[in-house]
Amino acid sequence: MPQTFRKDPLLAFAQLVVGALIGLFAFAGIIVAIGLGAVATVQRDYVFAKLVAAGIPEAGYVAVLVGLVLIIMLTALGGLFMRELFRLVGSVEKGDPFQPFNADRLRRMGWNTVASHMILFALAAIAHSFGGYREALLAEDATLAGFSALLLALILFILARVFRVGAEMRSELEGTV
Amino acid sequence: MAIIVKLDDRLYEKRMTLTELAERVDITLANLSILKTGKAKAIRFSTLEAICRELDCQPGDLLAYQTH
Repeated sequence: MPQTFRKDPLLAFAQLVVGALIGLFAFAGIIVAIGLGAVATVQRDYVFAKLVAAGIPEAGYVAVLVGLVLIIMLTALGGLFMRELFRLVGSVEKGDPFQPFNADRLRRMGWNTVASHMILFALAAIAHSFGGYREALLAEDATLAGFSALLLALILFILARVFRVGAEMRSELEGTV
Repeated sequence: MAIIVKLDDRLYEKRMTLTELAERVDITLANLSILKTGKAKAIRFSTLEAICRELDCQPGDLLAYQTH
């Protein structure tokens, strides 16, 4: 039975895409971290000037810093999510996915989705305080994205249960001849 | 273990090796060895049926319940 999964082109493609996304999240995180460093130090006056020109109070500077920290957290969570997915796909490729650690992995991915969505809410609140981006963030797409994230989290939690039951059933079958 | 497997006795009576039985019942030698040494947790009816057919015996000839 495990042979069925081996050399599956879909799994190979998934690992390639997920691997690339891990790299992309890491790259984005590093770039934003550099940006945060710049905004907090050498670009501080420039950002202040831009905020004043846009009619945003000076307190908006703190909101920009917080926003950048949240984006870094978001990229970290995205990278962790992809790493879990990469390892999950790897275990399927090995032909033995119904293991308790995969159930734990899916549960972590579910919580990761919830946490990411909460960060997105916080980012939306910051953008809302700036006013200019308000319409864009309150558009129907954002609501739909929120619903999709909730649905994804729910699916991941259910899948975690499915994998746990699968692992228990597999454990029961061990030693059967 | 309360259930004991008497596969060895039956193989001896039939003058058959474990390897030969494994080939006849289409089960890996490793799995049959697990059964023979009493390390198996469960046995499928299909496996039991195949072994009984090849060794010309009843399930009771292969398994026994032993009180401690």
